[in-house]
Amino acid sequence: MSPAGPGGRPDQSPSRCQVSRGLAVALLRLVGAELRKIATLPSSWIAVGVAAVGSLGITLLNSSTVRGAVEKGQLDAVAYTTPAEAVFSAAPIGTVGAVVLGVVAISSEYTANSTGAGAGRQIAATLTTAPNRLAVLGAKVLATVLSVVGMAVIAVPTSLVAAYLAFGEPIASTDLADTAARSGGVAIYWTLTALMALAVTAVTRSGIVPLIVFIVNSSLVSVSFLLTRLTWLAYYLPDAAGIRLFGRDTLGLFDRALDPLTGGLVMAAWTLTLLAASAAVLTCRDA
Amino acid sequence: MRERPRPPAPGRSAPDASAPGPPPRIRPPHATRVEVPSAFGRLARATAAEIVKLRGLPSVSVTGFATMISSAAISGALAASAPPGSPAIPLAVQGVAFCQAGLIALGVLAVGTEYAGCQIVTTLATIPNRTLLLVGKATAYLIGAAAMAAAAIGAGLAAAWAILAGWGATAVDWGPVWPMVGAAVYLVAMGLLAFAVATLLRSLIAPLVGMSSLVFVVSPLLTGIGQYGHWLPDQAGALLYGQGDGTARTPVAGALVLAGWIAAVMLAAGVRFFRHDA
Repeated sequence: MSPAGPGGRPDQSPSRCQVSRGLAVALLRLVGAELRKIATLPSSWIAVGVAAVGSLGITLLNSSTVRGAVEKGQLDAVAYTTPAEAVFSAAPIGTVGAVVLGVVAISSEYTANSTGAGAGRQIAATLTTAPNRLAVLGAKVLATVLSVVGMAVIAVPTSLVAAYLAFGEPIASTDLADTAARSGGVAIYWTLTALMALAVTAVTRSGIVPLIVFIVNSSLVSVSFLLTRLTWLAYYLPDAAGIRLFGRDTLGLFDRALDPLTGGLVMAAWTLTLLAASAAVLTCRDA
Repeated sequence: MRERPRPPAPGRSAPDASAPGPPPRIRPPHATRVEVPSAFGRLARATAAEIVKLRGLPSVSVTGFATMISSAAISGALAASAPPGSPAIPLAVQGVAFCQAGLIALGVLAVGTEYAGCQIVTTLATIPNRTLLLVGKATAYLIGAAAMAAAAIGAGLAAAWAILAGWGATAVDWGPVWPMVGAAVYLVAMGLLAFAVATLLRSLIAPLVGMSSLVFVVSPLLTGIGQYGHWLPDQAGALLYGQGDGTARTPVAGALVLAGWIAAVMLAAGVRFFRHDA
């Protein structure tokens, strides 16, 4: 690059605007690369399939049971009678899919290609092409968010339509706003759970521990809810905090849980803390 | 090329001294006799090799300690929220519902790590007899699982005792002993089911996600809607350590359903393991 001189060409060093645009393009490329990696992992598609088909299956079972009870007049045999509840009580299945998406986004980088001599891990290639580790982590986070939201966009409306068809009643207008809010809440809950799983996997580098811990705790009979019997502080644990984002307490399991906004913020704070810790580990440690 | 002394093949009688043939070779004094072990000896060796492999996995020791600690924490929490004077054993075994994650992980790890890389090729090169390998692997798992289950239930009981008795300040009603035995059997059996699923799927992540989703997500979701869930392996097996509801759902019936699941999946896994290329 030639310096600007009398009669020479003007200085061509990039302006700040050009630099930031270049960074944005680089980040977009990284996100595209990470999305492609996620899309080519068989585990990701199994996760999306389990979340979509599993939610649909449980929703249909719920709907037929509730409809049967309502038709027989046994209203006290079921905990709820609305189609939306039949959908959102199946949300833990989708949480499993989200956890798998978050975990494999990182753990696939650290899986050895083979146990023989000369085998490498994908993380070496990744960090060679994109040496900025924070940018890699950020791209992985964005790609995971996009995949989980995409999964929710497939799974939740399908289940809602199926539940309304199975119940055979028209959609009430008052119900619609609440249902939309809870659908968004499910997407947020799944996304935050996936990001927490991603952050933990970035520290452990193996998917086994985060998979077990997050799947065990994604159930409505999780360890966190067991601990709420002992102390109200357990409602601030990450999975219990966000439960009202989509859950309504039809079984009286979590009557003192945080309200949706507070709970969502607490869950987001957990997620940010874990992501910050994983960023620190990722930048300070050898790959 | 020098011919090495070979032991007589089993089932074939020693050559008659009067029969014509090459004169018997004189064994040099430094040559060692190669002994062909009996079937039991070969199984013992295969089992020992599998135990060494299992012990060498860092994930296994992590899983063992995590299972013990979570069992103690959960049983302690349950004991702390229980009314005073509650019997200790039925309280402590409720922690089994969570501890089974550890045994499921052990069962999956015992098989899945072979397929995480290409270790299965080495394993089959050293033990080409697949029946022997599978039985040896299952035996090694059972030994490890029995130890892990005993440790987890022991830790849970100790925590429940410590909370209920106030570190020995008061006497504790232990309650019936059989749920404790049933809980140990249940833990080992659920891990064996995971072992079979991993052998069938030949992978690490898929059986881990599948088994833990079945036990921790699908099963609780199905309890709310009728009788579907009663036939699931974990709900049937839970009768081994739970309280019967006075109907046909007895511990024996639950054990039979769970055994049926294990037998069915193990049969499919065995067929795939014997018939397919590694």
